[in-house]
Amino acid sequence: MQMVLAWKLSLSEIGEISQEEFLEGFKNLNCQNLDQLKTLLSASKEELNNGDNFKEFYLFSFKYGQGTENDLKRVLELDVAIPLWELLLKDRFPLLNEWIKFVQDPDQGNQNSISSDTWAMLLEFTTIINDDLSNFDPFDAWPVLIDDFVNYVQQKKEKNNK
Amino acid sequence: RRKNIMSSGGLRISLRGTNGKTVPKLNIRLSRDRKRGGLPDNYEETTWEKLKMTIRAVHSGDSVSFSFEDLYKCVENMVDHKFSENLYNRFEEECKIHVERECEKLVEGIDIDDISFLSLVNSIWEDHCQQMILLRSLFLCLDRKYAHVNSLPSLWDMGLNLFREHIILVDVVSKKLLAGLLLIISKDRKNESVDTSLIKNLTQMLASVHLYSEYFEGQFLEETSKFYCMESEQYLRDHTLEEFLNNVDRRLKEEIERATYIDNRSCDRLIATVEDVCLRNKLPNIIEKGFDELIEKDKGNYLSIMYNLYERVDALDLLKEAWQNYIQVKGKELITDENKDKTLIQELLDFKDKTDRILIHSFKDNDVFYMALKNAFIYFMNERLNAPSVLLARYLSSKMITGRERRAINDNEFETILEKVMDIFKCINEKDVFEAFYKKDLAKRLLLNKSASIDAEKLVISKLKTECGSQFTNKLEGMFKDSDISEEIVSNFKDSVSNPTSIDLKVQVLTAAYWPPFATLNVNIPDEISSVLTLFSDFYYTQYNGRKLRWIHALGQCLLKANFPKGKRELQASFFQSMVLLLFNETDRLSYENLSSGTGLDDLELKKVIKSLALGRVRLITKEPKSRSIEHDDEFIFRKNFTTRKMRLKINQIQQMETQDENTRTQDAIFKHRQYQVDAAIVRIMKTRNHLQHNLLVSELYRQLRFKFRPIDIKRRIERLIEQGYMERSPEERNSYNYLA
Repeated sequence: MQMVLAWKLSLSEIGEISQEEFLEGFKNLNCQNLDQLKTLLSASKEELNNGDNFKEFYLFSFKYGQGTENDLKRVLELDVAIPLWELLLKDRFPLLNEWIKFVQDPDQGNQNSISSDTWAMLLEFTTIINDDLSNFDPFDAWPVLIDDFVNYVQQKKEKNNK
Repeated sequence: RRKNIMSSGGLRISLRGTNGKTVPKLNIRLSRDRKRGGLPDNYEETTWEKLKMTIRAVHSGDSVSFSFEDLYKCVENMVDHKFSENLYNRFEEECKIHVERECEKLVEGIDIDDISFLSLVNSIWEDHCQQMILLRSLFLCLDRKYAHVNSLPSLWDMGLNLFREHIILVDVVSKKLLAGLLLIISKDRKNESVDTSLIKNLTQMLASVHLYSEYFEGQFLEETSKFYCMESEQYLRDHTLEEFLNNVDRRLKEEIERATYIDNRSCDRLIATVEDVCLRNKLPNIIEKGFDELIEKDKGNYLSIMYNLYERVDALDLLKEAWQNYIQVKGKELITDENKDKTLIQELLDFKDKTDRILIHSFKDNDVFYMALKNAFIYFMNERLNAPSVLLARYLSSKMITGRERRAINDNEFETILEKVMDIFKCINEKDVFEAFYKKDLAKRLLLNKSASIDAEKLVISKLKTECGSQFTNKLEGMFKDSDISEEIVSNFKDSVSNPTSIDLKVQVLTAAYWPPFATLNVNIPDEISSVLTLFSDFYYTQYNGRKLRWIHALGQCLLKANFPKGKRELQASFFQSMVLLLFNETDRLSYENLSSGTGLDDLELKKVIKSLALGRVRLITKEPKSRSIEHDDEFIFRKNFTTRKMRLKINQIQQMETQDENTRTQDAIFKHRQYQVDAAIVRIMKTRNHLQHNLLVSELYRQLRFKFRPIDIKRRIERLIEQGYMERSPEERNSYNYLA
């Protein structure tokens, strides 16, 4: 909920809201009292059912997670990224748990952060690729991390089958 | 009184007497009915009897009782008096009777062996010819004035026709004759002695009676085919390839010879038959049987024969394929056997020598075969990554360095070796690996002054330049320039120094971009040296503002003046060795720990240095306890009583095999450089295309980049470039990118 509000108000720092952001934001949203705020929030929740809107929200979360500090680095620390994913992709990504295990696994290349490109591509991955990874093509332009993830999942499956 | 003055011709002249007043009258009357003019009534029959007797005499070989002129005149008379037709027919009849009789002789002798039968036929034929010639000259008039004029067969032809119909085409005769001919030819082929003139006569006989082609030739070619089919299969099965080739070669020559006494008209078809059966039907089998071995054993002569044979039947393509294949397989074997790395390059050069030789001597320097060779080399040279380039660079370097090996080669030999090395070099795709490793060795040569000949060095570089362009040799040339410039700098430095220092310093200033990467080690430099180095650096910075100097002490060399009790000597040592020795200036005995802290060298390096001083050929320090390795609790004593006959002694460093470290650093440099190339290529491509699909981008990179790369590496570079803002993923189209200006 907090995230949705942050998105709508285009906030830049988690847990903070500047006076300007407050005033400008609510003015743009035409929201002047608590009731309107409630309506706004439920409407926004509805909005998120639409793919494009959700994508915007998701991409916003990356920047939001960075805060103002890491903006130039174009990366998001893993310890921020993971909770965000858990929140955002909860019912949208069946392999979410695998993914989180994977990125934390020290044997898998030791990621400390996620690039914005990989962040964005992960969303596409969840929307396009089947749950059983059957339509994944390694020759497509997926980021290397995602290629490795698919490998990881497939290897695990094979081990389990044995 | 009338007188018939003329009795022949058709002229009757009558003259009247001279009584009276009559004028002599000439009365000319032509008479047609002259059949019997002047000839007796039964002239024809009697003359024919005469002629008939003569014919029979000739046929039976008896002597003729009449004179030639007489007989000839008889014929002439017969012809003139229109008895020709009868004469012709009767003549024919006589000849026919005779021929039939002759045939009976053959039929009676039908059970004799085939060869004797042939002789029999031959003698009958010869008789026939002689007889016909004789008869024909007698009856020449008949031939000319009757036969020819009335388009009838000449007497000679008539004789041939009779011979054909009534002898040769008689069933039993024809069968046995054919069988005999084929048999005698077969014996001839088996090298049994036969009368070849017999064969010739008989085939000519057949030709004369126009039976050669339809009666004989077809069967002959078929027999030939069967004979050689069997023979060549047997050879292919039971003999070596060399024997097979020799045999085919020989047989072809033989058959050309044979055609002269069978019939030259058959020569082409005959040869074609042999080629078909011995070669065309077996081309792949022949190659399979032993082509590879012939090359392996360097049997140039047999390869020549093989080439010529295949050329005859237009099958050089097959041979070329086998040639290319052999080289590819053998080459790949050579190159992928890691145990043979030490001798790989020499073996490759020898292999190239051999194949070049075969190409020229056995394959007539054929262009197509040349291309096959070249392509084969390119193929297998790149079947193994990295190592061939490294080994080749090392090989060449070994020929450039001073020493016994180099002294043994003169300039011409060097140039030849260089040419061959370049030939191999051209085939390698990973030329950047070669450059990096060659550069590394070149650096050592230049810095340690171990180059055998500057001319040779320059020659190598010019050849590399011709092959790869100036960008490739940029750095190598830069290294030479640095050497030259350094000399200048050092002399300027010396001029600039007011107080000549006690240490004579010579510095090589290296432009880092050109030279291979050197490790900088932090060591404890003795003060005297340190101050001189600083002096130099300061001088340098006045000349070149903005540059930074980094000392590579590992490559330093020193000439130490040593005052031994037994005499002054000069010692040529590496900088690290010198550092250790200088520590003994204070005391005669030092522990390992002392040396370690005194020099600041790491263990690996320090042990190497101490070893070279304590356990080499020249021992300046003694180690306690005595053993082959340097340990942390060792102690070392300076050998004061050291002496040598030489005034200046060089202390050998333990020959450093290429350290794993060095290798890794060089490889890393290559790798990094390749990454730049990939990045540059991607940006370049994207800039031109503006928008490109991922797969198309990858395939374009495959085209442009000389070295092999993995798709995953490309993806990483793309991700970096996306991060850096050179390109973006296309929002419109999946799996494509847009260029960001």
